[in-house]
Amino acid sequence: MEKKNSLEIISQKIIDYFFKDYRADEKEVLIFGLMALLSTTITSTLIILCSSLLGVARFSIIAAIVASIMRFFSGGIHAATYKQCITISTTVFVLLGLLASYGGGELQDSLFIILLFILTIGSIIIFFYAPAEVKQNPINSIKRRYRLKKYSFIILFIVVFTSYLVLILKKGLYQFILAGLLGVSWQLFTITPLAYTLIRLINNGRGNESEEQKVSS
Amino acid sequence: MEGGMRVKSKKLVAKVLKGIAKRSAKSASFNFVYQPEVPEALKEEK
Repeated sequence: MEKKNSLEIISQKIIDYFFKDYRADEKEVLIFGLMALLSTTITSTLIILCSSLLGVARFSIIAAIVASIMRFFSGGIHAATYKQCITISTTVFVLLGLLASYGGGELQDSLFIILLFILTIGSIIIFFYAPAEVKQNPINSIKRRYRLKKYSFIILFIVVFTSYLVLILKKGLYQFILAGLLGVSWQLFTITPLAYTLIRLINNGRGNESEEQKVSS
Repeated sequence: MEGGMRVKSKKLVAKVLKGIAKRSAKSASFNFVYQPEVPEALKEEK
């Protein structure tokens, strides 16, 4: 029997308690919806709390929002457990917030080059690997795969173009621009085979089920 | 009266959760690095 994680058990108990009269398949959908809601809310709250303690909440929030929007379309690696997800997400976005906070001022002259670099490398990564799927959510339809890839490109261009506009029109927002770009970079990294190898090593090290990436055709 | 309100609230919550579930199933991934199995009922709707 497949082992359930803490988030799934909590969601199942809540739905079983409040929706006793619903059919099993309806409950399954409600549990999935509640898991999506809870995982996003809990992880976001933890990112905000931890980054606030270090005084970089603004930058961590921007990085997390940009990465989340892009993740919606491009997919990417997944932790085997929800605890692992919280730990990875909170650590990464707090670190990105810190990097943006300290590096934004220093890198202001290089931001144009960084923008161009992310646009080029990002386009290549999206072309080859987006949407990066996992076996829990397979993308079998070619139409859906094409749509997700197209939107991934659009999001990348919007982020880079907005950053460019902010950069030339408003001085002093270098840290915010860098935060957004770091969010995109992290998300692009999570769809590469290297990220899948790393998460597989982490999962194997913990004795958990490993994931397999299906590279898009 | 109170019972009717409770039923309406329950239906509303169920509708919102179903909406979130459908949206999440259509996306390539959850917002952060966690992805549970997509329910069979939603796999067919893709």
